[in-house]
Amino acid sequence: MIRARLEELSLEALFDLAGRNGLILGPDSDRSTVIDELTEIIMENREERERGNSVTVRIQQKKYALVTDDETPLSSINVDEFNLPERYETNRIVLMLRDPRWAFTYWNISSTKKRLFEETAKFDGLFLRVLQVASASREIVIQDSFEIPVRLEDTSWYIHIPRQQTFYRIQLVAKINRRRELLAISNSVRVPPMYLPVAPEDMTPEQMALYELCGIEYLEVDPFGRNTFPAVRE
Amino acid sequence: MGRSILLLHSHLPLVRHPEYESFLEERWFFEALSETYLPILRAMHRLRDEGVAFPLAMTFSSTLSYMLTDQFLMERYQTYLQNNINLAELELERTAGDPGLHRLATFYHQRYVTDLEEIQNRYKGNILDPFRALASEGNIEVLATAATHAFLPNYRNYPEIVKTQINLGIESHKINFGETPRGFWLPECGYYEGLDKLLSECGVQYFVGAAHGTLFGEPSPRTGTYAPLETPAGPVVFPRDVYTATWVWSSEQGYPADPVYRDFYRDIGYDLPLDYIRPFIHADDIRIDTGFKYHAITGSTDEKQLYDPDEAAKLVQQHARDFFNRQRDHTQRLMEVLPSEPVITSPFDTELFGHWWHEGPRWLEALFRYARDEQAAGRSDAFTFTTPGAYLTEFGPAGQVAPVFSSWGSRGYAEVWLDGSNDWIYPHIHQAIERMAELVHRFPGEKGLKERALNQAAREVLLAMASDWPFIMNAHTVVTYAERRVKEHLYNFTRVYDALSQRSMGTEWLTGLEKKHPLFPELNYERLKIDLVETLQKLS
Repeated sequence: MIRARLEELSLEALFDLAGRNGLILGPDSDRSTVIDELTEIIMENREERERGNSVTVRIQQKKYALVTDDETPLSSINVDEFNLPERYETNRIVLMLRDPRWAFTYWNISSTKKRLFEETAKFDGLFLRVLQVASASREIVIQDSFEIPVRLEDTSWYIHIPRQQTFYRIQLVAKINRRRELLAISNSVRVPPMYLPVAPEDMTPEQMALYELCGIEYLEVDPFGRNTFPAVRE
Repeated sequence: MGRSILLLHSHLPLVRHPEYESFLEERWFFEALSETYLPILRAMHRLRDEGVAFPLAMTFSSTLSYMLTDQFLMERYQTYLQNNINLAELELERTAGDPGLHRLATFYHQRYVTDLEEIQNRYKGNILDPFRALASEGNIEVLATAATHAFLPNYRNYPEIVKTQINLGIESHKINFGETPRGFWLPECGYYEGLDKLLSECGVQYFVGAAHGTLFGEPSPRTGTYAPLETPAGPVVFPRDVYTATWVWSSEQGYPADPVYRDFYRDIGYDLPLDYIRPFIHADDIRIDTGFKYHAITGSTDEKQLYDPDEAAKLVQQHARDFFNRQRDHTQRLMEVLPSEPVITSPFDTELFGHWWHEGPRWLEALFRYARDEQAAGRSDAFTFTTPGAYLTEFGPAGQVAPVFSSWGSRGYAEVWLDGSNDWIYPHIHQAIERMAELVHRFPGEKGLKERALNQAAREVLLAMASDWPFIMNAHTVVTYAERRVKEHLYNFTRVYDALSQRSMGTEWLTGLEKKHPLFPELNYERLKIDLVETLQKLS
């Protein structure tokens, strides 16, 4: 089906599609080679996505399926007419929990501040300071921390969360002339446990029977492992 | 006695484009009507008329509810049906020499003719009313859901806005179904610690949670995922069962994957010559699904066999019996290890039945008929279907749990709605939420044009929050459209925000927008009030 659809596209549209799928083609690639390679990569991408999706997501995707070949451009809707600003005039950082292992953080630096950094020779970079804190309270009691250097043009980052069942916050910090300037501090997030509270080797036969009947092999998460508890260093 | 709860969650985002003569994505709704909602209604009416109980729980999102009663979309649906009838008539001619194909073409012709007749004469362009009637007769129990189906964990920094999503969803439900809902469907089963408190403050008595959200909770329940449990703030969580649901949900091992059933992908929109099919596909000769599908799943091959409706009908009966018996057997095994009688909670996306699994509505019907027969024969004293509300009234929760952050999405948390494909939307939507709160603060108690503009700004913020847009971006399906929708809602909001700051509001533009996105006509912008000081303190 994909091949039949691709056969109907112009060579220009095929090259465009190849570019968007990350295919590097020589200028003398012929039509049939482009179609072969595109068919292969589209199938691979689709299968990979399908494999990674839960049954609920796979079915929901069908609600929005209008064409069999999802990668085929559908319409000439102009998205550019509703352009959004690249940044907002605030200094702030926000932390969002994606799962017990990963969090997403995004930040804004005001254009004044950004320009100041760009024009100051003593500006020595930005970094994120990831704080493991004792609670969600505004009074910060740091239990552990680590730093991630970022560039001035970065605006977001995914952060690997080392421990569960504790709280995290992020500080956005600039280094200027060996001095550290705190630009913003995020909200806190509580990281939940990522496993069943009891490891398989510690389970009673009744617990094991119950979890098996609950169909734990069908869960979207791995239920077994040792939850990592907060370390306290500072 | 073991109990089984089946819940069908019905949702589509608001997709209506009066600014275009026709709009491709409106077909999501039209296909759902012809393939899911009308067939399910017919099945329910047959069961009701024959006195067969079908205690189903259902949800209808505010956006879908609006569309099910929207005169504009219903007129377009009739055009869609007429177009399909035209194609069916051509197909009757084309397949006249092939009895197998001709029989299927006849089926589609009858389907679309019946759909059109029912929409015009029986339902008078309102598909929500018959569901409301089934609910008020006590056949089904309907839950509310979030106003624009926002994935709530991604808005946890804004508890007032989460509450507005919950309360508006409940109010919309009251208008549509004439009663206060007891239950609330969390979009995508998205839960986070503290949401139980907000649900409680909104009067919610129960919700459905992801299985691991309960199993990893505190304390991990002795009832596993097989009993409703009270959360710290009071609302009861019905944990989703993943064991038995897999038989229906799975596109690989589940019933819908049987080779005899109709294939979802194979469609004459792709199979037939362009010159023939051109009037029925998208502009620029882009082939799309027409809904005319003549082949069975057959197997993992492109050489599909012709679909045989008789064989499929027999298999539906067999699969309905199988599901009932397997659930009953499962409850027997559970009773040996559980401290209380098991409750199996199986939520599904309604479009699984009909749109994805063509035979799904017939399967549901067969399931309840079989349950009735087993009951009548005295073979089902230890197992029965019920609804969450009915269960709670009779038994109440079986214990307590503090559930944890979870969803029913891939990998169990927020990854579907927060990854590299869609994370760019959140800085903008969060900013819009805060700016909306700023407008509420700056312009209290406005009337006239300014009030209309503020109300519309509030609508646009809520519409931008829909879970569908990041979902589609993550799925790599109609990404351009999803991006456009988020950007358009934010643009509309920002235009009002800027206009109010500059004291210049275009009436014509505003009126057009009100007509295009008319959800929640009674919405007052002050509902999007948040404590900006506290929010910003939390965020800084």
